[in-house]
Amino acid sequence: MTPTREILWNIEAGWLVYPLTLAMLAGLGYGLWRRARVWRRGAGTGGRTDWQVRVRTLLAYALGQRRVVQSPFAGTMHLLLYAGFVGLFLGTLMVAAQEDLRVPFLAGGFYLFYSLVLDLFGGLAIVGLLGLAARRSLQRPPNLEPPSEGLSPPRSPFDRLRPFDRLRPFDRLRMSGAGSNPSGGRTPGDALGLALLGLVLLSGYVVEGLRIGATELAQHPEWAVWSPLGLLVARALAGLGLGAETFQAWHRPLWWLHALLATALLGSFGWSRLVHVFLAPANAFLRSSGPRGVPRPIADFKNPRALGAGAFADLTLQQRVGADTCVQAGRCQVHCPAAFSGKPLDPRQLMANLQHLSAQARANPDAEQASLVERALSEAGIWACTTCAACITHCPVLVEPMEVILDLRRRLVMGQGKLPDSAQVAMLNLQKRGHPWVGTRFSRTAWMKGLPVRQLSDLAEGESVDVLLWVGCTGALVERNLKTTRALAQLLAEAGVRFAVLGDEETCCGDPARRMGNEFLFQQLAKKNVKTLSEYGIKRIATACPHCFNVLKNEYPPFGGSYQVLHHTELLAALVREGRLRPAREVQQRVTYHDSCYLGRYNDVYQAPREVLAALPGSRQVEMPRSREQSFCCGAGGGHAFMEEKSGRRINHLRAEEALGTGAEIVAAACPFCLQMFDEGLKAQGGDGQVQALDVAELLAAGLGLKG
Amino acid sequence: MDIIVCVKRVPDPEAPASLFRVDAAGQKLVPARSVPRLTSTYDESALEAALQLRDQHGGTITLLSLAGEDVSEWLQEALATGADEAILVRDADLAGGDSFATAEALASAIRRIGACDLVLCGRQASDTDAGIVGPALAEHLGLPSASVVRKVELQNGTLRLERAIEDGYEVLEIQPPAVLTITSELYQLRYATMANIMAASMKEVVVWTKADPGLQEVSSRIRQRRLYQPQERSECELVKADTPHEAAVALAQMLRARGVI
Repeated sequence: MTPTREILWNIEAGWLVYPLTLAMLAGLGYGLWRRARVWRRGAGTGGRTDWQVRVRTLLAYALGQRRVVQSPFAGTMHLLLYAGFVGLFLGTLMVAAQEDLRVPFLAGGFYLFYSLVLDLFGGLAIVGLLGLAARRSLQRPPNLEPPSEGLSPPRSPFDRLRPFDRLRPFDRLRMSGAGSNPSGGRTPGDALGLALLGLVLLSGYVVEGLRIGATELAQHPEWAVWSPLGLLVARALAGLGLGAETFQAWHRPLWWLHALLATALLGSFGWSRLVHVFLAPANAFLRSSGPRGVPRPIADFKNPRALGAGAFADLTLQQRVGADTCVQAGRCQVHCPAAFSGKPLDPRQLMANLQHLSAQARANPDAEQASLVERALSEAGIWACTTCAACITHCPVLVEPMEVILDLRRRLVMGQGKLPDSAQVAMLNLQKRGHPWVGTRFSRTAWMKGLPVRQLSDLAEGESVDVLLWVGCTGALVERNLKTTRALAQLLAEAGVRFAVLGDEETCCGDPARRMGNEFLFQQLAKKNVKTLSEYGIKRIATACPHCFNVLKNEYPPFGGSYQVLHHTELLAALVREGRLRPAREVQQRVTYHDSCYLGRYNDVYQAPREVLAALPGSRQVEMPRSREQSFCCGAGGGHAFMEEKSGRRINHLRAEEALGTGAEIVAAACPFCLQMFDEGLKAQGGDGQVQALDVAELLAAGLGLKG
Repeated sequence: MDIIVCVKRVPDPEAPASLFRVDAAGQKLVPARSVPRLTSTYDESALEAALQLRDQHGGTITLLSLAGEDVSEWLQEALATGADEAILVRDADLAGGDSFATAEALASAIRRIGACDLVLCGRQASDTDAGIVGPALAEHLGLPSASVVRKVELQNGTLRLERAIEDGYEVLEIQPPAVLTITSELYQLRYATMANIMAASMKEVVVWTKADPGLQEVSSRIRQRRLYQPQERSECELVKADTPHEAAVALAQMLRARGVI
């Protein structure tokens, strides 16, 4: 006899499956449609649509779960649950295909294989589910908890799976400053979702066990072994003394229970957090295909509604979908330097609030007009963001809180002229003097004294250089950073690179303006610089500042400026590789490298600086607990190099503490702001001043015996 | 309340001295091209004071500037914080004089504008730091005046002022119209909103010259003898001696010989 099974065996009125399915689809459809109505009121981003990139993002991040698995335990468990349900769903579709298309392909060897695979996929889902439930109830990671005062550090068998458990003591501090979180974290709804998933799986196995008990246990034991878990259930029930008739009698109601549970689960997706099953792919598809961390373009500065976001009504379609997609995983919160240091900003809470406002907008479109300030995020919170891109880098479903924060800033600054005093001073200086460093006593050419550095304006007719050294405001105007610029210029000269600088013709790249919310000023500066660079026909630029690097490389093309832009660590690594720079002096020291946000997360440059450090004879590199993509901001980004840090602990002190924990004698940086932050942070945390912060270029210059 | 705010464009007061030179004739200080040209710091405070008065009591704000060259672009940008209109007296002769001549020229421009309730100036310009124009302007216009005012309020038609003095401030009351010079302690110019920037870009700066009726020749009272940059010199002489005591004696003698002590 060919192994198979009768579909809808033992079921009367099987046709009821169709209206049930229709009801499920209707529920699902309505649940999504009522959300889509709110999304459609959102403005388009006007960004370019690169279908290839969109599809690739969809495949990698939604189907492939690339981000989800980055959290090892939770990611693996989620992957099991996800794979299990996808398998079961496809299996159920095959059953439907056989029944409705009348193609009896579930027979013979294939049927047995099918039975085994489905049985095991259900098992995977159960393991995943139990793992996730255990994480929520036993491990209780703080990022899933509603924050409260005096939370004690969690203890659990899964502790060692947490990547940052070394930093656990700070959690307490972070919790105390993160504000209340009524809607985030473990809500009854989440538990219900998990419970419903569990019941669907459990009832499925019971139904399977009952069917096996009634039809295979005695008659075809050689078939039953292909459903090992179902067989287990059947044997257990048989062990309780159930006979074949009882199996059959119980089978029918439980089958319907299982069908109802599964239908209810799917039909209610639109009302639960499980809606992310549909929204995560949608959100991945909608993600901007442009460079990272760029706020949406503003086409018309005369339109006050186009200046960032002041109300929910100003949010774009993508931001609205993002708000609904957020699963409150809390990974943004774990990685956010503002939340971590006790500032009044918690990106998870921001998204929870937006989700709440989105629900209000579903009920009442007029609710969209109320201001987002305070309702989504406080003014202090809006200014606490360092634009480090950790939230957008770690979100498993590609939600971008940072982008919303930038929009909120833009409305405050351009719409209302409201910004913190220290930010205003820096921004006005940028406007008036083309650099943010108020009161500097240096001119842009002061650092060149005594060095054979040429300015483009001094080159002879027809003479050209290989590369323009873009010094940046900080490298030219802040005493500490002058040393880096001098070291770099000496290295380039040593390697025989033909380079020149713009000198007084250089002006701020515009990064602080854009990140502090003044897009208009950013564009003025960008256009001015593009004009200057075009006049000199510049094609290749190197810079020691990751902020200039990012802007020149990724954010000038829309203004007509496309250049090959190198960070100085990339250029130096190439020169070392080519043998044009050969550091020979022993550097008998332990070095830890700090990844700058704008070099790392924004531009994926992780290897070049490490390569240069590895070339220093005798030096030993040690990594901080958080490095590369996981790197923790120095605290200076988003205009914070110029702003007062008023609440919580100082971010640079936290990072300096982490660096000191490695036992390193030198903290290597590749960003002028990081360097300033470490200079201060190491002094404050290290006490004895034995540990130094140095730029990679300074270390390489020392390795070559070049004297500043 | 209709207010006229006198504003001056100056070379960036924060620019390092190395970026300035004295012209060949030894008459003028010439800033390098890279030195930004900005609104004089105290004039910004005067403008903020005017904006706050207008916020509370309504009226108009007119910016008035005197310059030898075309600074209308700068003046138009200065409208971005919310002033209503701007008048530029662009005339090399009128602008070429000293503080007294400037006050005279501004006074004739203000008379030409007509009635106003209040004239505000910065307490002094960030380039010359003379502080003469405001009081001299009041003299020319025959109006009451107060200098170094840190706060202005209008109460029942009377101006109530806080005037900064060495160890605090004194409270004065003046009946408008009046001329005040404003200091910066309490007035930081507001940040321009996009709407105001856009509105300003639509406005046109009115330009007058000496040829316009009501503006007449002015005369300076200060004569500049010579303008020069002091030469920086550094020489080092080491005091040589066998003991610290002898070194101290030798140093003292050396200093006395040069008239330092």
